[in-house]
Amino acid sequence: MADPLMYLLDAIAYAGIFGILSISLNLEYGYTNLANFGKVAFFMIGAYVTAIMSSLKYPFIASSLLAILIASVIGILTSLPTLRLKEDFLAITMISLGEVMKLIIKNETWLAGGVWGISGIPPAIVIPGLTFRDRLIVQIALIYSVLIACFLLCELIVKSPYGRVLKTIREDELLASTYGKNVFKYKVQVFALGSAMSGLAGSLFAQYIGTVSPYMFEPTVTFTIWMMVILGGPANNLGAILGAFMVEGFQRSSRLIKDYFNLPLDPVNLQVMLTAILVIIVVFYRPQGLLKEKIKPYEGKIHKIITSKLMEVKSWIHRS
Amino acid sequence: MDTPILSTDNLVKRFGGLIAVNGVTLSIKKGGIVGLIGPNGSGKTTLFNILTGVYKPDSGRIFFNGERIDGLQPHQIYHKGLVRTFQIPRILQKMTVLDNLMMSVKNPGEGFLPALFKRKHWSKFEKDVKDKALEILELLGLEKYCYVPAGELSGGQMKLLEIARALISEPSMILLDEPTAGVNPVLANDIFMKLREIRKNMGVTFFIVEHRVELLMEHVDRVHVMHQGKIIAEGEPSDIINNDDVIKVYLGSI
Repeated sequence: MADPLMYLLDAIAYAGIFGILSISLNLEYGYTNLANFGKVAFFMIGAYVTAIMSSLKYPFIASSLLAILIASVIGILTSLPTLRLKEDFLAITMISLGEVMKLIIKNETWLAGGVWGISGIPPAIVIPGLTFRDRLIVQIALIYSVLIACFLLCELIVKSPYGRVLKTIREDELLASTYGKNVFKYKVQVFALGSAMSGLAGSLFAQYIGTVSPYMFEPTVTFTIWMMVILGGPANNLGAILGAFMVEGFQRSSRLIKDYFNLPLDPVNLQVMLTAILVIIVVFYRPQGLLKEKIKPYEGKIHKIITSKLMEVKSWIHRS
Repeated sequence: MDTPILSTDNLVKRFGGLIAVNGVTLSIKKGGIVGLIGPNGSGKTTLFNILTGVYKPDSGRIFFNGERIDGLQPHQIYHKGLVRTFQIPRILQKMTVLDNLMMSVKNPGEGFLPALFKRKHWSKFEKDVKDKALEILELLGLEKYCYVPAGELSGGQMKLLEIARALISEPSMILLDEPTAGVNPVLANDIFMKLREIRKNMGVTFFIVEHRVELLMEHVDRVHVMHQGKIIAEGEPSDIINNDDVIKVYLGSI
């Protein structure tokens, strides 16, 4: 990378995509206590569906919608048998789901190019005559509008009686069911929604990178998303986004170190160690994450603004 | 008023070799306040767990309002109108006291789509529930804690919250597991007075496990005594106090 601005823009785009993933994990883990360690599987499904669909010359809208649909259907199918498991068993099952998905893609060459992957995925928005940098900015605009939409969706969900039920399930499943909440139903719904959002993130990722291969979807991706949520603050959507920026920024900047210092060890290895230390420090000294969960009642500002805007839109629709 | 609201027929629950509930048959009249006493480990809480669907009985049947409810999930039993409290309060630590209460009421905003698209509808409902919750909190002297995370309450306050939660959901019957353990005597008496008032106004039936026998006997209509998984006596409080078996296994001769 010659132009440092490009590097920065690329980091911003990545942080946006991972922000969507970390919001979706936050909904699952932060609010509902579902230890989904298979995030990468749904991310991968989204990316591959988009890649296959675009190689069949479908527009991005269609392929991303299908990616959302397929990711959530697979989410529901995997959740039906696994959500009855306790937290840690669920985590292990989900890790293996990610690995199985990757193996299927690697071995079924007819489906998605096997180990070679699929390349030549066109970007979602093609404006002829733009420079490379301007194209990056268009990408960022697209990714961030999706990120904001996902953020607002999650905020609306968690700041409602529905969100209160999710938190009740997180704190005490037996109590939730004693007071008439169908715990299993809620878990499946949250899982489906989280998977759908991961699928959408995968779809954006595929059209941004332009190529997908099984080696992009190692379990490390899942752990990165987990780090983002844990550092940023579970059960706080802004925190999840902040976490995504932090982890992405931290990884990028530690990769740059090698250009300025003569290090006795491989900077990529150093980066892994530094990230681990960062996680340990946060878990020790600020276990609630950078942004704490807000326990106050949910008549906050954002909620009021969104509600009033929704009312405006509704009355406007009625008038016209 | 003579129809039973809850009746069981020969309930049995085994845990390995231990028979925790051994052929319990009882019937509770609508609108009554009924006590359940017995020594520790006699199966009282297990019986509550079976009645509310937490455990499945190994054999036997349960009828609630004439419907069979054994084998149903806890959340289904709640919707039939049967609610219980826990002996050790199950408090949602990271939620406010108010949310702890409001959680227990069935709310139209608890569906996924209504939560998103019918905000106006459930907001109004929320407001009503909130008023009701504040009213109950005021009664129990907890109103100043309404926005405090419930994990910061004292043990006794948690106990009160646990009861308040059952009251606010307006069921037709409440099973109370030691509602006044760890509560000071005056407040304990107040709680029982309140239960009687609720019974009078709303016709709620109460089934209460309690070790404060003197207090319980003052307020209940009937008492069941459990020992080693069996109901050994049943009747008016005055009869039970003088029952030889009950004195032997539970009350002790004073």
